[in-house]
Amino acid sequence: MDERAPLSDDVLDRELQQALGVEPSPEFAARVRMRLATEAIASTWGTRSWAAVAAVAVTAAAAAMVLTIGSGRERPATPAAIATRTLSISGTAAPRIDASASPGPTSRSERRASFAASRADRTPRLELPDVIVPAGQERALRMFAEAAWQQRVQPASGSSPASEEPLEIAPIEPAPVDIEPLPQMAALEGDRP
Amino acid sequence: MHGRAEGLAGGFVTVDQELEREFEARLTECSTLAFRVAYGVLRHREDAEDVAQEAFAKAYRSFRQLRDRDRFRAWLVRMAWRMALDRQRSNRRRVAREERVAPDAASSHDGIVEGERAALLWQAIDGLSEKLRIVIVLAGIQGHDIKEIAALLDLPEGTVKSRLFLARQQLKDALSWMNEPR
Repeated sequence: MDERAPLSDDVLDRELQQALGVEPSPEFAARVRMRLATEAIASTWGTRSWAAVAAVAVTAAAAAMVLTIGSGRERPATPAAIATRTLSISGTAAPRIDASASPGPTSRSERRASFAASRADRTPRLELPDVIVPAGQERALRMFAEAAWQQRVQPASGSSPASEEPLEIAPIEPAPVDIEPLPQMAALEGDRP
Repeated sequence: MHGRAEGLAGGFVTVDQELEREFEARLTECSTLAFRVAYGVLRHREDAEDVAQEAFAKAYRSFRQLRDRDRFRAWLVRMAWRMALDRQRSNRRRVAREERVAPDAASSHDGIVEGERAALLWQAIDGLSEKLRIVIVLAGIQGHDIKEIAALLDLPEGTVKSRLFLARQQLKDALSWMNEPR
């Protein structure tokens, strides 16, 4: 039979505080500060290396974007391509496109492509060298070419045949002008002494 | 005018400098606490210092989220406790050697008796479950009361109180022989 009394709270607290009341060594704080200094340098280098990696990544992404955009653009036609391309001119009147007639192609480029395809089937093809014109004048030039092909306009009608001869300018010869004196003035002049 | 502007500019500190100052204050305030928490598990001075140092290094990395004083203390205590447990699990042999050789054992008879008492006390503390052990260790460090322990462990005060009661009961039962006169 154990007759020992249970440990009192005071004794237990005293024992615990004595067991846990250990002080760190005097150099502990210095060691921690040294460790933190190393940590700070490492984190600074880490930040710098990440910044360098990010800068390289941004530069590479920008270069890739520039290359992608550059390759996506339509390249100017080479002389060889110009020589092989053909210009199709229809022999009939240009058909009108009725957008409400059928749900055909919606975009402008699609409409243009379908129009060119339907016209190519029923029009004679004229092999002509390509002409480089500004984009804004392409349609006007095409309409003019078609009208000329249909002889609705004369390409040379803008200038008359006489215009090729040198223009002679006759000198102007004005008629002589006789100025008669006014009657009242003559009477007044007669009254003077 | 220009000199005044320079003087004003010289009075400013960067955010990093302010953080460094705050962390230095926390280090001065909590270094012993972190060491003792780790020592409460490991009972080896060098190991406890290593663990406390690593805990401070981790706290330094995420100090922007731990600027609040109470939050920092709680985080540091829990981190030091977990790291000390990890160290204890991975270093059982060293702990066993520390138990065999009492830290401040002197060659005198009194010193041997003190060492034996300390070893038996630690043996009783090690017999507690982990939940009870951290509560009793924090109560023995710097005289933390129930409210402070609850804040450090982010637990309700009632939970801390009951755990502290259970821990004391188990320790009293295990160390009843200490009531006898030395």
